[in-house]
Amino acid sequence: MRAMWGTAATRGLLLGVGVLVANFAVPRLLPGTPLTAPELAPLPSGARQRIQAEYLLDRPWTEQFAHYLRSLARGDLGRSLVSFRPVTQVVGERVPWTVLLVLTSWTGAVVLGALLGTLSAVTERGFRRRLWLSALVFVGSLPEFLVASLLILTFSVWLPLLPASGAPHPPYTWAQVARHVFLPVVTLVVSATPTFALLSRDLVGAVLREPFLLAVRAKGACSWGVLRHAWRCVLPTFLTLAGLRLAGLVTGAAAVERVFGYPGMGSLLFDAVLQRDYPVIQGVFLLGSLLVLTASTLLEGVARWLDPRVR
Amino acid sequence: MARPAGAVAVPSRRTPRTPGPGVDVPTAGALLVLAALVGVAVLAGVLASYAPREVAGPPLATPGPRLPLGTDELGRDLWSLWIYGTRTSLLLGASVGLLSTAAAAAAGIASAGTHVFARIVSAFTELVAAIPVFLLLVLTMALTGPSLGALVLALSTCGWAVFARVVRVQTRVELQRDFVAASQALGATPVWVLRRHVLPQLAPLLWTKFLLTVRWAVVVEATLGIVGLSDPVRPSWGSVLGSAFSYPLLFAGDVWLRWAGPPALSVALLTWSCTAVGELAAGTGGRRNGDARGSAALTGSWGAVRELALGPSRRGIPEGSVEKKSAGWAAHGRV
Repeated sequence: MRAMWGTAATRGLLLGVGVLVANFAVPRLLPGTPLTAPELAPLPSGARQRIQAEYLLDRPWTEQFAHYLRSLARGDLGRSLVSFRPVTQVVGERVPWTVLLVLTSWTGAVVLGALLGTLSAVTERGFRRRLWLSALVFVGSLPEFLVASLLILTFSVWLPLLPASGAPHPPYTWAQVARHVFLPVVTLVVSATPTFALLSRDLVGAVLREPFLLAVRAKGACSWGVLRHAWRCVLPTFLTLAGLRLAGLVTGAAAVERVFGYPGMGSLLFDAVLQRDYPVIQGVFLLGSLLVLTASTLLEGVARWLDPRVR
Repeated sequence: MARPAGAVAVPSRRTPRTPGPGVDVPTAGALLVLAALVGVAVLAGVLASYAPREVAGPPLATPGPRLPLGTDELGRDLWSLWIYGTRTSLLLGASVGLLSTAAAAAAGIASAGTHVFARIVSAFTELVAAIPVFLLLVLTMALTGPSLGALVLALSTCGWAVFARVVRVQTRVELQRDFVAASQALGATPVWVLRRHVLPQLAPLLWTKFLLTVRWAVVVEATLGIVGLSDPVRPSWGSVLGSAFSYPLLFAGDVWLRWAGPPALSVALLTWSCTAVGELAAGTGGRRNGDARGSAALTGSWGAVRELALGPSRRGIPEGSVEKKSAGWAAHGRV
């Protein structure tokens, strides 16, 4: 078992290092630097020198990299070019909102997708099943921002039940938070569920044709019993793949947050891009990627632990 | 081959690869939609009444005789913006599709043999599969400036890796076939084997990959536009959507219908039709029963990703069950 955790953790670590290196290398390798960006007003010379000194931009890249790692170890991601607050603080206050949004909708979509997928795997072939599948494929191929707009139109414009945008003001209650999180979560659930449903349908459908399930049936297990056996077999695979899909959900969340004006990392990214606030953009990239990697590595570990043959 | 006049039509000697259904009604509809969008893109100069960035009327004008959809907050004609946007978005989708399909095919075939390269490709693939590519794209675009060319390059760089792995697996399968061995025994060169035996078998796979990549690229462009990163010079579906969602009163009246409506509907239609047509292309390859239709469309990446996640041991799922269905569907459903 330790070995299995080991491989998941090794991969997570390697990828994490990859992200750290990309965060360092991408801005330095790409043509054009933040200091010479044409959209920016020419910086006063003092500011330019301060920025150069802060990132050691006139030194060889090995020194820059060592400096970068040292600041990372201190939890220092630089300062925002706009608000001059530390990036860790600027990004950090948005993280809980995005984590709430992504985790809630991921969980919802996984559960709903597993249910729908199992249902369609046991439905008999025919027109109804095909209709189901076509509907799933169609809904699943809609971009998130479109689903978001349709939901706003339905629940905020035609039926004014829920707020179309924004977040509650600081002394908030759970009910207020729930009201504001509801539509974004529904959007992500709607657009992520079909993928999980089709995935679990394929997996469960394949296992249901296995001889050992025929034996289970022959022993007189009820259909719940059969499904329980099937899911035990499918669950590790399903969880691993669903964990990898988290990265896709974060993309969707960025667009959804923007459409709903939700105060998460996606909206922060939008503002930072608009103001060309490079340290903040880098901070969102770094923290977002590391969070996703941690989550999917943990899930993979859990999935491997769930596998009875390994345990 | 001239046929003597009056001869009975001889059935084609080429055996159809599947006896399955040909083009059904939804697929025909999808083909029509694709053709119509391509037509709009090609004839943009004729159909649009204003240049893409020309001020055509007062800001936020309601539809009138020369402005079928009214204007946006800068007074530009929304109809012309949509038409030129279609041209940009389709151009982007097609270029990304071509570039990354070619790269995936080349890398996949090249890594089918050599070992070190194969490992590098799979390492890169894992990186791309597990990190949120979108955030990396935002970082890249923010640094280079969101020009169309940079976006095409960045998307193509991200879009090939997952699929290269599928091509590699499939190439290995093809190379082990008896007719390849026979051909090699008769003295066929590797290039000949590749051209005559491997590429034709890979063709449906590559077509599907192309269409799925077009779909992916267009959706990512639209999403980047909403996040505020779109080429300021060329209007695209993404840039129109971006400006629409920046307008605070978008949903207050019926502006959304004329402003965000056309590009959003186009993105939806394009994703749907690419899925449907891609299914047709995949259907000429692997097994296809009526039931498997479409399911693979969204699980697309899973065939490839599953292999990554689970390694070659296959962990209790019967060999080939998901792979077969998804083989044609490899590569990203979405980022």
